[in-house]
Amino acid sequence: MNLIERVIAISRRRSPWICRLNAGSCNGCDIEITPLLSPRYDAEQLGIELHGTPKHADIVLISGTLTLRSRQAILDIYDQVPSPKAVVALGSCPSSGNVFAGSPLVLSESLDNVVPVDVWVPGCPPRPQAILDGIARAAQLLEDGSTKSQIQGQRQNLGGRLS
Amino acid sequence: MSAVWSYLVAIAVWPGLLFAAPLGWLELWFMRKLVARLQGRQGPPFFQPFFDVMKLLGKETVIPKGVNRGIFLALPLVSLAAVTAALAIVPLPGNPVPSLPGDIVLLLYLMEVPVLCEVLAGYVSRSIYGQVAAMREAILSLAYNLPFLVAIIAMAQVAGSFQMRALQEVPYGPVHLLAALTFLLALPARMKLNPFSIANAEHEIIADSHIEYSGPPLALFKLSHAIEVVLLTELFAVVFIPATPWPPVNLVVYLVAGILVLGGVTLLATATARLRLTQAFRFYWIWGGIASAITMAATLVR
Amino acid sequence: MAMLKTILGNLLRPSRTRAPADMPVVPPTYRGALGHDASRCTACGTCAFVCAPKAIHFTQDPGVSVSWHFFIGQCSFCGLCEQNCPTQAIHLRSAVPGSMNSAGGDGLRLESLIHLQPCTRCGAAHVPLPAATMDALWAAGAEEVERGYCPECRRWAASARLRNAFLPEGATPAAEGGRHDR
Ligand code: SF4
Ligand code: SF4
Ligand code: SF4
Repeated sequence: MNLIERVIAISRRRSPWICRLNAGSCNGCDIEITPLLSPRYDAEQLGIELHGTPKHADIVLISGTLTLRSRQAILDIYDQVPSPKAVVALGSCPSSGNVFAGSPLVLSESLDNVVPVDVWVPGCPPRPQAILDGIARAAQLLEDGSTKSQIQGQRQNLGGRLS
Repeated sequence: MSAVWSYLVAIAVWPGLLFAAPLGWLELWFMRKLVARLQGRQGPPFFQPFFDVMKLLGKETVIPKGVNRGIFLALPLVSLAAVTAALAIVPLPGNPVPSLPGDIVLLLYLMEVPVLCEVLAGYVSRSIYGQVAAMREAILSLAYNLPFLVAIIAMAQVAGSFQMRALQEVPYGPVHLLAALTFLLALPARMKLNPFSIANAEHEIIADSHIEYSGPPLALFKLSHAIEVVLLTELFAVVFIPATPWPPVNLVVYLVAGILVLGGVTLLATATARLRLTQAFRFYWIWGGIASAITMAATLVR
Repeated sequence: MAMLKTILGNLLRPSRTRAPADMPVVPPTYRGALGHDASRCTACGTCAFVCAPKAIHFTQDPGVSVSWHFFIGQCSFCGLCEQNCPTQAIHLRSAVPGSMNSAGGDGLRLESLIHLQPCTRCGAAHVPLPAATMDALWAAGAEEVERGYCPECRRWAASARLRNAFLPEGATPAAEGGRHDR
């Protein structure tokens, strides 16, 4: 790994920009993201910035139950995030549907079946420090080049070269 | 040294890209840190703006469907080139570029280019939010350019010349003070800082007109913004701060003045909330207009 | 102006930010990571019944063991299971469940194995009572041998005792060794 690649890899960890995606959340998880920007938790100390558009994001925070309608939105937004990217799932809802599982309009399956999830943050809702920890973990994965999408990209590159 | 070489050095090394980029990152870090501290937060680490740009350089570029690729990718380059060229003709101590007659006009023109690029970036992106941002930017530039241009033109009027060096040699007088205040009035909107952060209203129209940009083009826009901050603060310092006969002292004074100006506008930005476009427009045409009129009157009275 | 005073005051004071390693303490009543104590569980199924999102379920290996399963990705930390567990085998600790890489499956799953024991009388495999419950039951001077009985044998032993109590003085008690219906 040459120097520039090394610097870029470190920058990925030091500057994770996040974009928030509410897939049908009760808002509990989203409310818990707000304290991250408050003086006490101050996400900016880790270089985290909250951005409104997926085009500027490195890490997508997905919260809430997956619904029949949000499934396509998640796929669209995930595709708009320029790689390398990571996905952090907040709370119990994305992994199983939580208490909403089994409702007629709820997709009672794991978010992993829709987009590759890199970090799960358990809780309902998770505490802000757990969310901060989850983002830091995802940023570390981005530096190591070991998020699921990065690994998949490498595989595809290899496959392209071999064939 | 031939003229071509001196221009190249000015654009690429001093006061151009090689020095302006770290200086811009330093100033951006200073602003972000100050905002954080004013809000009782810890704030970003020192190298944060650098990391942001490096990370963006290592990312993929997503180009939206139906967008003209050429224009889309050229805009950030043009913007960066324009601000760097503008900075290169600011007579900072040690700038190798010879002073040309009429370089103020060139400078003012070059300083408009990044604004133009942002407006175009918003429109070519085909995003509704980007277009709203572009529209706001265009209208706002009509407003803040009144005091901004008048402040510079008043100084040129006093100097009797549209040449940067001549501006620096004007004996210090009340016009300096008035023009400086008029310039400072326009600065928050020029930097898109808080009471006038209308074009880049994050979370209101999601992002600024770079909404559809990602990866290296976005990094170039960020870099061009960093250099624009340097350009604006150093322009203020060069034009309105009295020069001493010793260039190294001048340099230090200019840099300190630049940081102080930034501190002031950041304080204002932290203490205020965003205005609406009409309010900002009215503010600049009424108060900016009055300030401009007083400044121009002072140049005549003298 | 008041705002200016506030923010300048902030500038003079040290920042209120806590470093990631020094996060605010979690209140002791916080319902965090869930823990299960297999030695106290009777596999009664109450927790699975009260859990709205169905985070708890059981599997069994007939004759050998019963497993209590918990999936944190389905739990809403409501605490109903803890509240309703008759033997207090479930506790929601105040520790914040940490985030996890998806490398470890799709989240934290707990499994605790409850071994079945053969009845000392009839040999049927059963979930033994928790030691604390047994101490409470047998403190009243009940027959020590009944400790290893399965629920059916305990019921049989209790009814035998009842029947004997009604027998007149001197009558022969019912024959020991009779089997309960299974
Ligand atoms: S995990 Fe809990 S708090 Fe978060 S969205 Fe789901 S129900 Fe709401
Ligand atoms: S944990 Fe408690 S409620 Fe659940 S099966 Fe065991 S004893 Fe019953
Ligand atoms: S805390 Fe609530 S949701 Fe979680 S396992 Fe217990 S009953 Fe189920």
